[in-house]
Formats: sequence, structure tokens, C-alpha cells
Amino acid sequence: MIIVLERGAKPEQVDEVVASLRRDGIEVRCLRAAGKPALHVLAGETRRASRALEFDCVEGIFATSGPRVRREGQRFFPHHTLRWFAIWMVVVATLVLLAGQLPPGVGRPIDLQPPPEHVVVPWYGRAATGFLALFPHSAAWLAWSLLWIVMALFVALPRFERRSGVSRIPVLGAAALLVAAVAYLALGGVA
Amino acid sequence: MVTATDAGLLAIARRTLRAPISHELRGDLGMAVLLVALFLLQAFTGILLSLYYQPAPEAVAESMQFIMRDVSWGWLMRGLHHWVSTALIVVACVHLARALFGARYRGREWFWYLGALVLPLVVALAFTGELLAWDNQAYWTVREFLSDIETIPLIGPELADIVRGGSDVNASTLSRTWTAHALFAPWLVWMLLAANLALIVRDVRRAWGGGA
Repeated sequence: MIIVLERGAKPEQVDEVVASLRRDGIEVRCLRAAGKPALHVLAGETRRASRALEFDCVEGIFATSGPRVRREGQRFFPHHTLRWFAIWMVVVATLVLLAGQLPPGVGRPIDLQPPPEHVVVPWYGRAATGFLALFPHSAAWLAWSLLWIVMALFVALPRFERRSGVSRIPVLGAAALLVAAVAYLALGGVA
Repeated sequence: MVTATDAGLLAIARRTLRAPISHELRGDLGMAVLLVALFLLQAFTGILLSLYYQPAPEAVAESMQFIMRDVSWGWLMRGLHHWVSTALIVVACVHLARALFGARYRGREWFWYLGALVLPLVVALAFTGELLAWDNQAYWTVREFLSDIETIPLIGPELADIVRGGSDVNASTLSRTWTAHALFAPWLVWMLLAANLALIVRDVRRAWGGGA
């Protein structure tokens, strides 16, 4: 683990951080990295080192070991391939199980008279049909226009975000709202 | 010309698979490969089903019964084809949601645009597949769908006529749905998925200094 301090950190501030870490039983070695003072944690409970963030002069703490860091340096093949292969196998096994337990049936022959009162739309089409159903037939043009505008904004999001320099928070808020609206309509919120 | 020699596709695949890979790119690569694998499974089961399926209104029900009852493992192939189409939509949604909420499109907008194209196409594939059953449910669903399409401003009626293949839902509609499902959309999806995977591989190689 490396604790990086701010570029302008004074020696006494560094000493203060080192003393605090030593009190927690953590051994460190002083370094300089890219012109900044840094502390290399050599021994002790590294989890406690996160307390160093309480000092204003500490810029950040970066892990140099641990399972996630070790995985970062591993080749995709064979290390990660095995993990992904296991995931794929679970997915395929689930699909085979579903296909065996819940196979699609063969429906009734076409009956033109009388037409069914309620047509069951597949789950992935329910959000769109639910949205269109919110508008009367005479205002269908408005529904389609809104749908196209939302879709265009959604697709052009990266370009829009880059050009306007807008913060991520409103973008994420709008995306979460869109996902919630789609889920609500898909689950039959509007019959 | 790119050849599958040591200096070509095999070398690229080997270097990509043997490169240490970051957490984010690993997720992207895994999801892209999962999408491709599901699509290949979908293509495989689809080809097997197409050997017995007859896209003519009077023969559809009989061919479906034949697949479900008489063809060895036909029920499983049809069930898999049905559920894999659902899984493809779910995985494509998750892929897109990862890009959206993780800002994965920054600096590589193609990733976003490809995902945004793949999702409606896999939905279209699933929807046309549902219609190919050509039972009462499918028939009335296609009628409802076409009446919605007709309300699109300016192009709606013409678009509905093209899909319908006439003034009413008939054998032409089934034939066109079959063409879209079995010939047109799969190739588009395949090209987009291959492009998606190829560009992620490029990013993996760039991240490890393997060049463009």
C-alpha cells in the first residue's frame, strides 16, 4: 500500500502521519513519487492505514497488493478465462433448465372472430406500447415525437455530455428516471 | 489482407488473451464475448429449427407440432431458442447499463453507439421470432403492432404497408417476418457484435501497449 501526500506537504506533516501510523503498529518507509512525498507501508495491519486519510495533507491511498490488485495483473488467459467460463456455463445451464421446465407452447389456431379483448405484448415491448397507450389516438403523433426525442437524446448522450460539459449527476438522474419509467411501464403500471 | 496466421487474427487473439487486463476492460470483454456466445447459440438453434419450420400460414402449426413432438430434441431446441432470445435482450441491456452508469463511453463513443444499435436489433429479432409461431396470439399481436406503427407521423402508413406486404395481415406478412428474422436482422446483429468485440480487443491491446 502506498500513501501519497500532497506535493506541498511539510516534513513535520509527514512526520505526524508517520507517527500516527506507527502508533497503530504500521511500519512505513518514506519515498518520493512524481515529486510528491509518499509512504510505503511495509508491515502491520494495512486496513488501519486508511485512518491516514484523516490528515489533510494525505492525497490518497493506493493498494499494491490484495486479491483485486493481483487479479489486475493476471493475464486474461488462463486466469480470468476460467472465471468467465464458469459464468457462461451457469448462464447456459440456466437457459437449458428454463427451456426444459418452461418450454414455449404451441398456441391456438388463428381465430378472426371475435378478436381478443386484450392482446398480450411480449415483455420487452410493454414499455413502448404502455407509453403509446398514455396518449389518445388523435395525439399519437405527440407520443411518437416524444419517443423519438427521448431515444435521440439517449443515443446522443456521450456527445451531449462532452459538448455541454454537464455534470454526471443530472445525467445519472435522468438515466435512472428513464430506467424507472421503462420498468414501470413494462411491469404494467399503465394498463 | 488479414489472414489467420501467426501475424494475423490468431496472433491478435493470442496477444489479447495473454495480456494482463484491467478490471473495467475485463468486464467489457467478458460481456461482449457472452453476447457473441449467446448469439452463436441462437444461430445454431435457429438453423436447426429452420430445417423443419415452414413459413406458410397453412403449414406453420403442423411444422411447429412436428418440431415439438417428432424431431429429436426439437422441443429443447425451440425452448433454448426462445430463452436465449430473452437472455440476449437482458445481457444487451446490462451491457448498455454498464456503459451508461459507469461512463464507459467516455473517450470511446463507438462503444455506446454500437450498444445502442444492438439492443433494438435483438429486440426486433425476438419480436419477429414470436410472430413466426403464427398462432392466434401472434396474429393479433402483429395486428396491434401494425396499428401502432400506422400512427407514426409521416411514414407510418407506408411503413406498415411494407411490413404487412398488402392491405391486411396475410401470408406475405409471415413471409416478410421470416425474411427479417432469419436473413436480414441476424447478419446485422452479427456484424455489430463482431465490431463491438473487435474494438474492445483493440482497447485491451492499446491499454497494454500492444499498439492499435
